[in-house]
Amino acid sequence: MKIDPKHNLKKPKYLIGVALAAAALAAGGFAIHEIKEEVMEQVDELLHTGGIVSAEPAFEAAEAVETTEENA
Amino acid sequence: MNLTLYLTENCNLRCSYCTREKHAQDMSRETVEKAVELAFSRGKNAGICFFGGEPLLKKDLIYYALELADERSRQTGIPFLSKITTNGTLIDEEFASMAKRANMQIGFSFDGTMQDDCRRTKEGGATFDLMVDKARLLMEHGCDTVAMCVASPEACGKLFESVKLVHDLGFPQMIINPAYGDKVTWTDETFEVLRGQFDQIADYMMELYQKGDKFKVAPLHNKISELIKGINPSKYCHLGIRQLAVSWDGNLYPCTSFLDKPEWYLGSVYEGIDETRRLEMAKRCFTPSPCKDCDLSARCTNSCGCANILNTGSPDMIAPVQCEYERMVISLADRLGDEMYAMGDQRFIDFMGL
Ligand code: SF4
Ligand code: SF4
Repeated sequence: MKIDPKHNLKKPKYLIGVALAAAALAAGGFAIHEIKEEVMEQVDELLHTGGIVSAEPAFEAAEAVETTEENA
Repeated sequence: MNLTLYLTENCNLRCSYCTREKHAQDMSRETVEKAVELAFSRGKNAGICFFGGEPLLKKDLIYYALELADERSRQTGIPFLSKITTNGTLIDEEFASMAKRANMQIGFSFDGTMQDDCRRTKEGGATFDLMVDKARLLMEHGCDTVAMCVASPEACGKLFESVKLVHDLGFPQMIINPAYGDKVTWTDETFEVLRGQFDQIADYMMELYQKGDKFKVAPLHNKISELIKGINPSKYCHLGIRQLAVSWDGNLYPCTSFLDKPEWYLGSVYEGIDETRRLEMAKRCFTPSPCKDCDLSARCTNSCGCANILNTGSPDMIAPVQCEYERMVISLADRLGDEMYAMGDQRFIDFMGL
């Protein structure tokens, strides 16, 4: 057993999938299953570039869109 | 605000890994009154977690605290939430009905088939059969219950079968924690046994997921959902900020491992919170130095001061076993998350409660 800090780990696929789905939902109101293909095409690239760290910004964006729509 | 109340230092069990000294010291009714007042004195919510020792040795104090809190909640409009962490052996019909009515969240400490290896009475008696009966009673009453299971080096070879038992008893969720503290020694060999058990648990969770069963096992389930939601598990309690522990005599401490340590004293329910010390504590950085640039830092419990104190004696030093455990659990959770996600995203999103 040892203390072993990790570096350059890949992001898990589910995180990127869910984050992209939420982002697309925020941007265009797609149902999640409709964008799955599109999501998956982008997964590989994101796994390498690490473009998404956490899905939180995407969820915030989705919430902002919903709030704007409710207020409109 | 949230308070954890040490109703008593006494316990009817003598668990092999327990780090609490047992004394016949109980909280007074007056201290309970002051604690309830403090819980309602600030913040938008009031919460009390009954703890010990074994809190159900002091059922009268629990009922008294709930009565007071209920009254305060009606007067102030502040919502109140109660929880208990109990060894379960003293649960009866009256308590189960009350817990259901009060929406109390019950942390039911039950080690499954490892129970009699580690969790025996003062006199050395077995508790497994009794606990199975108590579990059924809670399920029959529909109480909001999570089974809390401790895996010790000696008994962890039975962890997987314990998880299956907890599921079969009808619990919707369970939490596994490795035994930590000075009564426990993990070796490379025993840790490998634990790893093998977790592998089987992850496969079992996948099997249940495929069948549409929503049984959840932390830490596997929550390592996935926390990553998606951007929640850092180390920031949950943030020593002394989100909650405080109240010792039997009314003194305040940041959390459960700090009780009776004068250097962590934060005031008392009688004199109020020492805000200067509390702020000083909040400003201290508890991230252990090896963790500062680790990719898993935001997913790991490295800055849980309580666990660190138990393992290393210092709130900002991580133990090798904890690092090993966190890395194992996170990597298994990610494997499981990817397998679940591959079965369809909508189902995955529902299961993770997003
Ligand atoms: S039931 Fe809890 S307080 Fe009692 S001996 Fe076991 S771990 Fe310690
Ligand atoms: S995995 Fe280990 S090194 Fe990384 S943050 Fe956790 S305890 Fe620290």
